[in-house]
Amino acid sequence: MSLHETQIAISDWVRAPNGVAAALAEEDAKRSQRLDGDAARRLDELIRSDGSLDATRRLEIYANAYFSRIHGVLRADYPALVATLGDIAFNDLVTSYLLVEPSRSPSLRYAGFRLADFLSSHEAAAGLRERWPWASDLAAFEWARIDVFDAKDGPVLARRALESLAQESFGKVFLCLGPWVRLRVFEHPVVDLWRAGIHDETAAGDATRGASRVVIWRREEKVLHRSLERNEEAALALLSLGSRFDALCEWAAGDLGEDAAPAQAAAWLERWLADGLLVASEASSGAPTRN
Amino acid sequence: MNSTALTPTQPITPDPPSRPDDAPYLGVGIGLRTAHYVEVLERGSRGQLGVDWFELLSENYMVPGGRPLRIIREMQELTPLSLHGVSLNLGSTDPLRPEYLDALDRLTRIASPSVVSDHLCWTGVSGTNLHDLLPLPYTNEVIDHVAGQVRRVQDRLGRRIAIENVSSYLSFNDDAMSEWNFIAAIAEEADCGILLDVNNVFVSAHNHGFDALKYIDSIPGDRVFQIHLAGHSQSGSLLIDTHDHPVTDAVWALYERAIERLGPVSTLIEWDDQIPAYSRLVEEADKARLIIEQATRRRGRTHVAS
Repeated sequence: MSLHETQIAISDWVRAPNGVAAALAEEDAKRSQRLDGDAARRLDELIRSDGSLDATRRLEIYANAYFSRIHGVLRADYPALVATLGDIAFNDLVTSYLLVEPSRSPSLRYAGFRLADFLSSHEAAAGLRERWPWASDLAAFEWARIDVFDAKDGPVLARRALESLAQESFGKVFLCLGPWVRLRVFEHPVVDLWRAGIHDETAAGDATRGASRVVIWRREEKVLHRSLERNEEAALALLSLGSRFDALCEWAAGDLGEDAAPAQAAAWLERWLADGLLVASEASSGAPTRN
Repeated sequence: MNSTALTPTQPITPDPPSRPDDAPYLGVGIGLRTAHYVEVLERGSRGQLGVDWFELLSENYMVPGGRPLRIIREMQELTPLSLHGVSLNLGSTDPLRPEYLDALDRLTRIASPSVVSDHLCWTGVSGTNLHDLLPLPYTNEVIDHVAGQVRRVQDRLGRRIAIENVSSYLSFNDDAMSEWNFIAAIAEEADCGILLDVNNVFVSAHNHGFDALKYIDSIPGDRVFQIHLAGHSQSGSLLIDTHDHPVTDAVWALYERAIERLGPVSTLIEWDDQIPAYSRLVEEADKARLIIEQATRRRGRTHVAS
């Protein structure tokens, strides 16, 4: 067997969902129909057995480590999801997820990055969706918290950088969300569901219904989040690509009316500065920009 | 220390092999873990780290920003650093990942490490990652393959790397040589360093029934860039490299033998699970330092006597 064939065979056996022995039996069952030899013999020819342990049990050590290592990382990444689903359902979820989405990243940090998509759309997760319709939202929220923890750095726009601006210059101030900020819209009240999960409480009835909008960000290495009203979420979405303050006011006027818009935009800006959501740049201090 | 009695397979060489210029002796370090970030930086600011250098797990710092990169910048001010990876996947038949090499190159420029290392193993194939250090068949075909991969990494990074022997729980019927001859041949063919994990030698020797002392005595000393020490656990008839216990007496004894033969080599204490207080790791580092100092003194007396 070539090195490549050896590695393919070991990788398949190690990642088999029910362990090496079951994988060999399954392989044998398939092969016997084609009179193509048997998998156990193939393993024995490849891996040395001795008096202390046979080849299957030696390979099983790697198979057990494969599952438990990734399972442990995903448990740490998705604590509220674990609490919501319970250990058995989460265990089954990881098993079926790894069959469809084996880790392809050099780092375990990214092993769970497709879990929310898997929960929302894969047929293997249909049962979980039926019982916990908000599971995908919960996973997406918890992943966003991981994502901002080590997201790209940048200078935070501070209130004092804007204090010295003349009133007439203020409209030209360019506002942009920092790369450490994520905006998410969910079909369920995810912050309440996450809090219930973290505190090991059971969410039921109305507590599980209703769309929500959330901003998640990092500040001084702490991951923070807060729920947003529809119009604030839309305003922040406008800033995800960057916008001048006067353009924000103009957009707000269309949504809130001419009279209310300036005060609301100013109040939002105060809050965003206090939260540390905006990135500082030359343009954000009102310096002339080339358009 | 209560060392296990050892029977040397050959006399200890009177002079240790010369140390590679790109792997200077740094003393004894520990693997930096998240749980100790605050204490390490605080001790560092008082000049009381208690160890001589730190090793960072490369993949944990291959991130866009946030705390990991801040930690590197602050640690650099305090102490020498070394980078140790687990996913270079040198033994895989998959091609090396350009994006991983780019990330490692960027990290190397940020951290200015004394040594860059990874493992003599494969971690996945066909694009998937098993997140484990799987052993390779010890054959000439594999030597050529891995040496080629190591050379490509070294060309990309513009520096030599060190490859670490792994703990293993299986071996191949096709093995045509000992593990120590296998790693030595790759190091020679690729002109790279060896990161000699003494605990891994002990664990694999137990699991496969080879002679750990012969391994230590046979490894080409002039290629040993670093030594790793860690704890292991017993699981049935096998030893498992769990990094969740103190270094065992038998591994300390093997380490003592390695230092007597090789002279002072930068040594690292690894502890990755059930991580104890920082001060406990410093105690382990102190044990390693004492062994190095005693071996050095003995060697000095031998020279005076002769």
